[in-house]
Amino acid sequence: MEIRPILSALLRNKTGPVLVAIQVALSLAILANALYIVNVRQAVAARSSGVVNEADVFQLSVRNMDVSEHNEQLSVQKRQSAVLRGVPGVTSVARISMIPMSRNGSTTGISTSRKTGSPTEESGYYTTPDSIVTTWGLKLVEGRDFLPGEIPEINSTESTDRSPAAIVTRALAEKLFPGQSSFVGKEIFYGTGDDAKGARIVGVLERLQTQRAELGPTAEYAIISPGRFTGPVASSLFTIRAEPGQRDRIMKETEAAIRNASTGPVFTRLRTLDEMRVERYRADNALSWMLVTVSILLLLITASGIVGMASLWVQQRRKQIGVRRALGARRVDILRYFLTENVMITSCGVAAGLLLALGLNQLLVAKLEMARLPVEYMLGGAAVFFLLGIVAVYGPAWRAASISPAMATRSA
Amino acid sequence: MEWLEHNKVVGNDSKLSAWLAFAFLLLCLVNAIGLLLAKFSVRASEVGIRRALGASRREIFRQFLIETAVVGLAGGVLGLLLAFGALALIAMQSKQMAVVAHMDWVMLTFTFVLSVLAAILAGLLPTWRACQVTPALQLKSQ
Repeated sequence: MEIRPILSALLRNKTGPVLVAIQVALSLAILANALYIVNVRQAVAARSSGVVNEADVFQLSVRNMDVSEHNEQLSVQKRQSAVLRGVPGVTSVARISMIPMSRNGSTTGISTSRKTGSPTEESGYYTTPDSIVTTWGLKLVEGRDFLPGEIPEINSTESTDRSPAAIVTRALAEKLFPGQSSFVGKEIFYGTGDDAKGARIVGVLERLQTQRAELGPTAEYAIISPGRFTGPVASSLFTIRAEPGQRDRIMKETEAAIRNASTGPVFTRLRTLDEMRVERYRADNALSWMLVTVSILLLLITASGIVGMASLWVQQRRKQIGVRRALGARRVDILRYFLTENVMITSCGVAAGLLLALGLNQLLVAKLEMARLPVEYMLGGAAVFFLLGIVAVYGPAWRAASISPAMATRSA
Repeated sequence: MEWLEHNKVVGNDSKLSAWLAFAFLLLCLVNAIGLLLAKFSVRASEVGIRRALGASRREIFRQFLIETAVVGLAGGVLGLLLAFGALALIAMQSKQMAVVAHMDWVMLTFTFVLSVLAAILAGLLPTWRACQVTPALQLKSQ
């Protein structure tokens, strides 16, 4: 092959090739990391919340303006649940304190001991008087759902009582009791200190995300405590599962039913679980789109750089190409010269780019708590840039090959 | 600033975007150096003639640097138009975003100065190369 002469020609005029190689290196480093981040974010946004068939689930928040007294609130809550269950097409209704991914709700510190200073895990704190396991289709991997006798009625303005039963997610259970496989019957505490309320685990969920649905494992640290609570205002949040495909119609009907059943002024608000998922991951999706756009621009700019440089070299070497052709070189030989030259430059760029990509990833891991870059992304990126180099240089190289020897050697 | 840091107001994603923007600028700089180098080296004979007619290196340097500054200026104007377009797009997404996504004078001046400075920085090497042209060689090869 003709590598030796190409190499010595390159070494004679280093600036151009070095610039092209730097471009390839920079682009590869950014591209590999950017695409990896996109993939990670897409995977995060696609995580299961634990609720099956999210598209059929929505929430209805209701606030009765004319109700305040504890017992009155209890009866209103029960009546509203009954009204909602009576709407045709409603499969299941549960009153619930908050919704996964809604970014609105409360957390509670869970500990395995009352002793002050023992470690507590911040967990999403769900409370419900109904079977949320049924309504959301949660999967119990151990134990059972709550029994009717375990659901207390609590006036939260006067009492801080909590039910002695609790369902936790497997992620939280494994964090609280490391190395164990069975969690039912274990005792946990809401916080630490002598007055911390205790509860026994009656069931373990395969998965249920918190209202925050964070990036890390804490997204699945959640606990469900049974109970019917009343507070200073008479408001309820109902999560409702509709028959498949009927959600939008049933949403309007449930709202109308609640309004009709209320004696006094009432505020209602409807939201679907899908909406909450979209809003929760809006920033992640925006970042993904930005990274994809930037990656495409990167490829375009690098390609334009390669085309520009190659065109310049072809123009500068017109006469030499003419001489080579006149001395018997075929078009293919000229084409191959430029392609080989480009592959050599790209190889240097790719080699430097792989190192840069690793360096950049180290920086991201250290500063922004991101994950380590898998090898596939580096290899894929390298392949992309080899291809890009060949495609970009093909045009100028073809023009070089089309130079007619007679014309090129005649002038000057 | 400490308060911002402590409360993690500036998310990791925003930092990532900022870093990405600068890495992208660096790439564009390298690209611009290459293109300017190509552009100027084609005009070696023009430089040769000007030098032969009495222009000093300093004058050649000024000519080419002003050319790159003009390119940077044009790029800056185009970039600002794009920025206004992108900001309008972001503001359309939601009301909360509209509060944040608007152009102020500091940002306007900063981006403009940055684009011109970047162009001049990218033009330095190609311009210096152009100044190294020896008039005699260029004239002889014509």
